[in-house]
Amino acid sequence: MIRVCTALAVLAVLGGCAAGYPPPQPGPQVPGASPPPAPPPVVVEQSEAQPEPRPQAAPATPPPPAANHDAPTLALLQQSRRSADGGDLKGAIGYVERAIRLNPRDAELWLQLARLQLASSQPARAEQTAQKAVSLADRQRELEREGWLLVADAREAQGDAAGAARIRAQWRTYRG
Amino acid sequence: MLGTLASVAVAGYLFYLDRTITTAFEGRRWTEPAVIYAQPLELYPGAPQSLADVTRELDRLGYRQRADVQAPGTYKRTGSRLDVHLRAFHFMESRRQSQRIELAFAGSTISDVRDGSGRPVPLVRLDPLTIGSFFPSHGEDRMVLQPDQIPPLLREALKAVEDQNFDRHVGFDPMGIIRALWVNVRAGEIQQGGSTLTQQLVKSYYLDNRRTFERKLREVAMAVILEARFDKQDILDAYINEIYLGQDGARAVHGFGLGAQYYFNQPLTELDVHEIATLIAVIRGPSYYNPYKYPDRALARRDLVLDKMLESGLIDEAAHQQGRSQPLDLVAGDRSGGAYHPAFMDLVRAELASAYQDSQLTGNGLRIFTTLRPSMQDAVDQALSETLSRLERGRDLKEGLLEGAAVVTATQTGEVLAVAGGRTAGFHGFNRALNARRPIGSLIKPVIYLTALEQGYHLASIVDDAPVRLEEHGRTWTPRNFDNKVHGPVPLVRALGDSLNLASVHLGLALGVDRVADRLTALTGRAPGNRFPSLLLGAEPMSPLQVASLYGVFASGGFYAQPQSVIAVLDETGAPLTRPPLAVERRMSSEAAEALGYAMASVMRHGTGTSSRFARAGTAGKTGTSDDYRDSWFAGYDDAHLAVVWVGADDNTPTGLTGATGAMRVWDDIMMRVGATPLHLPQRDDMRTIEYATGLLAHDGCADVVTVPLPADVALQSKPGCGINLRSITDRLRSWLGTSNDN
Repeated sequence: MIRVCTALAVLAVLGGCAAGYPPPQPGPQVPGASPPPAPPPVVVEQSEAQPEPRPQAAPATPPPPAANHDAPTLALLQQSRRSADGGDLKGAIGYVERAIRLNPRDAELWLQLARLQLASSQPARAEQTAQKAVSLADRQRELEREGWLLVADAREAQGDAAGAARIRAQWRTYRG
Repeated sequence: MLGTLASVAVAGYLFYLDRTITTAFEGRRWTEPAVIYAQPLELYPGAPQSLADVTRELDRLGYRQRADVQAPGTYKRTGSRLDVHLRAFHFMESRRQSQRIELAFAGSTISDVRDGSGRPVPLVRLDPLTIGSFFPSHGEDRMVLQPDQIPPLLREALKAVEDQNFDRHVGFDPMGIIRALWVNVRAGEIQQGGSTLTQQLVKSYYLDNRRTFERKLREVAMAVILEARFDKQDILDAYINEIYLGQDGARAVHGFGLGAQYYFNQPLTELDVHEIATLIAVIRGPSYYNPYKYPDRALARRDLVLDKMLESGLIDEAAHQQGRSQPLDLVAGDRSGGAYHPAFMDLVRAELASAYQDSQLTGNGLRIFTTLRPSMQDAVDQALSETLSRLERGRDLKEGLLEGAAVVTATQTGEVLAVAGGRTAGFHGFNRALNARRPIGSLIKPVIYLTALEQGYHLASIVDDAPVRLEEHGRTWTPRNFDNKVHGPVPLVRALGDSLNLASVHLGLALGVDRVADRLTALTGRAPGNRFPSLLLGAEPMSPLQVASLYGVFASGGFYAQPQSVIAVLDETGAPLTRPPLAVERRMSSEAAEALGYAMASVMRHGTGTSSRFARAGTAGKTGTSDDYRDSWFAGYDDAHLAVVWVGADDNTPTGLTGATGAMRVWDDIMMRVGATPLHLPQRDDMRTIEYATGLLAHDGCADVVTVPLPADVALQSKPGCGINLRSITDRLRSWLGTSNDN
């Protein structure tokens, strides 16, 4: 279990960078970069899935932020992460989409979808998806902030460095 | 010389026959059709599914209720628990083995899901409903079975009944013909045919029942060629996948796989002996022995097949007796397991054609996963057909005058859950949901009000509901309100809620028709053909699907999502071809979207939607009626589903129905069947309560008030005699302070 946690923490930090996050700021910690509590082992379906892929050195996406998801959502996010770690981003997106079908108002799922889209080099789509997450955040500032920071990353990835900087400046002052 | 020429001609002809029949055989044998699946039902603790819901879905899938659940495709009910033996299925992500699960229910939700050994399972799916399959190459439908999916009993029984010498003959069996003649003379009726299975197979490749000597010779020659080229088992399996077994409307039922689904709604491997016997019985004459039309004939011939099985030692006496004692056990009604949804399939086909290249779609054995939710489709089909009949009876309209169409989408994703193209479900005719473009009437109005909100108006802004005279195409035109009255100055929220034509025209003209038209274009990606003032009253034809894409933006808080029916297309190895992404795009500011959301909810609580049974259940929507009551529209949504309904007559005769008395009744009926989830309207700091009729500041104690977001700098007059009371002010102050602390 400890090994799993360590691995997840490493993946989280690496993933954060890979997804184009700004370098960590002094001050408040970026919530998305903190290691999530390892969820309990769960089985979605007995399947003949391919052997568990080994985590790669540079994973494509950060794990989802820690949250109070219900068991089915958690199971799907876990499978999504496994696919992403194995380099199968399309598959990872598929699992998150399935989770969204079950909980279409869950802003964190849309955030995770945006992260995966960004990691799949679809920054324009990721920007819109992150905005969707913000609109569903229902004024929860932490979620809004994460959504906007993702919007900033997506803008930067589209060459709009000034726009990205503006958003980051606006949300950097926020202290949670 | 002549002899040589004749030999050359015969050799050439045989060569031609060989090429023809071999190509046909191999072409079919190795072609797997594309199969289209609905959304599978997700089972998890807390899922909003009652025991009845899950049982209904199992029945749809052809699961059988049994005393034990040893075999896949069976289930058992004990009190409020279900034991289900799930079938194996190759899902998008991976293959699932058949497995047992136990479900417990508490009221209308699933309370517990466990696997066969009693361990909790967080999430598991039923297998998805097959809603269609097609051969891109020749358009015919098959469910091609692999050799291991064919029950040995079927192969042996086919030989026993149709072709006893199959294992020995060379494609043609003179002894068989003599035997058949003898049997038929003795019985005084045709009980046996003289054609071998191979000849029957050849015949079915070239559906032509004309009996000429030349054709018969050709058939025999081709059968002999097939036998020379391929082995017996391949020929028999091809026969099992090819033979004609009946007619489902315009769709020919070929092969035992599809036959098992059509007649019994089961996979072939799960059929009982008497059901296999029925399918074999039908081969002799699918119309003459049609089990739906002539059950007695079919039953008598089935028993004959069972007798043959016993005579040939394929079944024992007990199984024979058991089989003969069974009824035909057909799926109720002459329908293909209730899984034929042609209107939805049209959408799938259109989407595939636009999103994929032809070369991708002609691939072998494609598996297409779609967003169709069978329970929703059933609800929509029933609601439409029953409500239209009820409306005709209640209003003394000619029976069959009314037609209708409906599209239901998931609000946040835009995924299409159900499509009804007409009032007769399962009838593949004109698809009104996709192809009927009718003037949308007042369904256009939210676009005007959205434009206004973005131009500095707010929901309490006053617009003048006063007479107006318009020039269009050289003609003068004076629109009227529905109630023929003039209401004077009214707030925006009421002008939309009561669907006031004069106020809307004044507002639209003040904003500019072009601006409204541009806004409509930006919302849906489709420019209106009409850029004249009549656009403001909805003189713009749209299909229900196009309306769903427009209202999807309102229902999702301002995000456009293309109504989408395909989740993924996998090739025969299970690898996804490109996958249409779940893509959303902001098309209006969150402030405007939220304000408009409150206004659309007011339509139901205060305006033209108040006669809905769901007016006070947290829903939003808009009614629409075109000139002279030719089109009745309703687009309504709750938190989960957006449903757009059109009702009218195909020949455009007026029906006397408004949006509220026609289409909204259908919408109500749909909601009754699927249940409403109250809208989640975001709580904002700038909410104020105003009188609906006047827009004056009021409080909850006044009659007919509405609480809406208004910009903080807007000063409103208070309603005299029903002013702000102290309690309301302190409450507001407290909540304001509370919110501030959170920040």
